[in-house]
Amino acid sequence: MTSGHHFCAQCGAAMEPDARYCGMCGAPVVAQPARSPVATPAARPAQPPPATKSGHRKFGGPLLMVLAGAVLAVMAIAFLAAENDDGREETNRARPDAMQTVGNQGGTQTAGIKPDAGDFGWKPYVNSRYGVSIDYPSSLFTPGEAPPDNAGRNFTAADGARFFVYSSANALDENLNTLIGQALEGIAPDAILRRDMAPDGFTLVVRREGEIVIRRLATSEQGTMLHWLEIGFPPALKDRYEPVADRMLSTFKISTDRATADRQTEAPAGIRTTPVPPATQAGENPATAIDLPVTAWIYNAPGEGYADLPALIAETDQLADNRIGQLTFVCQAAAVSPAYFAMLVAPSFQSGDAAEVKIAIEGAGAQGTLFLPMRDLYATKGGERPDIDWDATILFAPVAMEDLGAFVKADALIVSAGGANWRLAGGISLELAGEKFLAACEGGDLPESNSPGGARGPDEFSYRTVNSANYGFTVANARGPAGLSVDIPEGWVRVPNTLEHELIFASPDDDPDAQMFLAIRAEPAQGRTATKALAEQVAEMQSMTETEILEQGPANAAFAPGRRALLRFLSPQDMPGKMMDELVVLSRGDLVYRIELTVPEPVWHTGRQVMVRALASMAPAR
Amino acid sequence: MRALIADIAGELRRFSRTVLVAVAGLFLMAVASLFSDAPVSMFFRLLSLAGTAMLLFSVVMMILVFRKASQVKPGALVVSLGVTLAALAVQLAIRGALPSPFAATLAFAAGGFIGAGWSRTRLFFVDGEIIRCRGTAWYLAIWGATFALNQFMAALAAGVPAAMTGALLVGSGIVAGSTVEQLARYYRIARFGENRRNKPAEAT
Repeated sequence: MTSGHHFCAQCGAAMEPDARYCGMCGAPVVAQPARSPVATPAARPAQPPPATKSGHRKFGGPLLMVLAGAVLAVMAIAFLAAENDDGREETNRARPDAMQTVGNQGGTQTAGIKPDAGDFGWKPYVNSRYGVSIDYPSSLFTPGEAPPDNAGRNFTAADGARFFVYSSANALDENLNTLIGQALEGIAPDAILRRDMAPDGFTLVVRREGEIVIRRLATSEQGTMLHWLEIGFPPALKDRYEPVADRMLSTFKISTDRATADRQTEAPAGIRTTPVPPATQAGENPATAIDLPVTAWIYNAPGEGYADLPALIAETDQLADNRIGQLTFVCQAAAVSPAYFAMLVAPSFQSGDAAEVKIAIEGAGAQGTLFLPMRDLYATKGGERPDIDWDATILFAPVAMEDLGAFVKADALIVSAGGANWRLAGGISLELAGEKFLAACEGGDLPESNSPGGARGPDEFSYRTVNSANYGFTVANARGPAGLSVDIPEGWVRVPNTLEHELIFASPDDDPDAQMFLAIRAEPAQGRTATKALAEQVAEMQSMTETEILEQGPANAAFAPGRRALLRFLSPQDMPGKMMDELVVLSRGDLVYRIELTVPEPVWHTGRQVMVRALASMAPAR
Repeated sequence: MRALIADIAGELRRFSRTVLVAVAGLFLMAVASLFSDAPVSMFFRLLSLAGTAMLLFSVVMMILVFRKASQVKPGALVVSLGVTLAALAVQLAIRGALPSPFAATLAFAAGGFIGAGWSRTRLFFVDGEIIRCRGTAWYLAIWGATFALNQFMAALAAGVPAAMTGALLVGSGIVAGSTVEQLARYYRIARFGENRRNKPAEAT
């Protein structure tokens, strides 16, 4: 009987008493004198494995198998790769011309148009939000409705062809390999007719669901933005659409510097085209842009002043070089939805009947350059044109709704025309007036002809009367009643946590750059006149920040006599721009009343009415 | 057959325990990622690090234990083959663009050849009632060569979907060929051992 363990002579591992081979290294057990008197016939060992050091089996057969398998593997992979390339070559042989890039050939030359692209009424589609532009045959494709986010547009043709342009952010930070894999999902290898990769995108031509689909991806802003172009057409129309697609692909461009390269577009028939010298690209050299400070964007309701239509007008500093005249947007009723027009009123830069004007947009939510081939309004008969009769030279161009939406969000507009640039900055009030303009246009109350419209524009406030007693207004040590009533604009709210002798009302603007304040304070005069009190207040203002005194004089208030000063100062909080501060000090009995209106300078023309109304309405509390 | 089924069931239970451990590890990584500013990015970074660590660990373990005699378990081999084929099916389904049957068969068969030849460099032997096997120097060399070949193919084929699919098929074929060869050898040895036991004892 075996007792105890054996130990392997090779590795020293413990083994079962009757083990023939080491369970650790597999070495056979060295023959030992039999302990058991009976040899077990069945315990004959199987063919022993080789010792570790001496004698080795030949592995020629297995190695040959491995080598043969490796050769077959290489052949298989090469075959797979060749399968893929065959499809591409077949497509390339079928296409007479490789895609050409219609390069910029100078601002005065017409870009090369391939003769077989046909005369299909080529027009540019420009998405100013993402800076995407492409030429498309307008006689073949009809644009669909613009999406709410203005990310692109669908176009369809009566014969079943279609294309779309769509832009989005690369939110998942996917690389081109991943994107092309997604684009080829569900596409059999033999349906891939062409695949071209480029550092910033790719082009695919595939057969899918009964049509030939051309898909191009262009990336911009270091891959953070994706711009898709997809063209689909029935295979039977290949002869017609292949050259069309070639031209569309070659004109599919992304504006990366907020100004696309100069590109000549086809002028509408019947309009004489005056060659325009290459204009300086908007934004390219900011140092050459002429600043046109916009003092206000004014919304004019129909019937007000000279506006026959709702108009959004940029009021600029008259001392500046504003050879572009006045930039104005109008809208009028059309068959389906309002038609919008951009106009330059009374420009002095242009010669001839037409000019190419570019408007570039700065500011969050707005990018790109809008090309506006403008025409002389009074030289244009019929067709799409604003129905106005203004006594001025007017250049106009239709503008898409989505582009106006971008204008409204802009911090500044850069107008390029006649070889120069003008930068109109005034986006803060543009958003307020612009939204009201768009609301009026979309509201459907557009006059059909020169009929008077609403009497009051959004520049004017409506008012409500407040009583100081309702806010606990009291003045300590006052000998007589101090309460008052005054008119303040509707929607203005009282600023909480003020002193009991203060009433401060703020306009309902979330943007601190547009917020206005009206403060009314009362205190014992203590022998001071209104003049002296005002002087003290002005001196205090001057000590805090750089202050200009624009006006000084008596205050026109029925409540009490007093003095008034109009100041302009830099905001102590280093906010951009300046603030307007109108101070009025009224002396009534033993009290002085300080009324202070603080308004950002760009909206001063709107805000100043608040003081006028307050002074006119102030009365002792009943 | 009954024994094989029992063996497979046992291996599946072990496999499921391994999967549970792996899931627990993923969960811990996910929790750890939540403490960073970009949890998703951190999670995938940790996953990548874990994968690299596992790869290095497997290389080290292979070098250390390739000569160790281990019991051949047909159930484990069948489960391994099943997991490989399931993973292949999932990958092909995700890719969408399938290769032609001829090319796919050629790639898979090539891998099968490599796997079968590789498997034959392992030594099988009987230890009592147990069939064991252990690796040899050639086994380790071919393992290293196929590993390097796989990485080389992946690097060359990056961005070319068809070539990546080919590399995938070759790799799966290697596993399939190796597994099938081992199973065949196991059952051949097992039958040999049975025959030997059933034969009348020869006179010594």
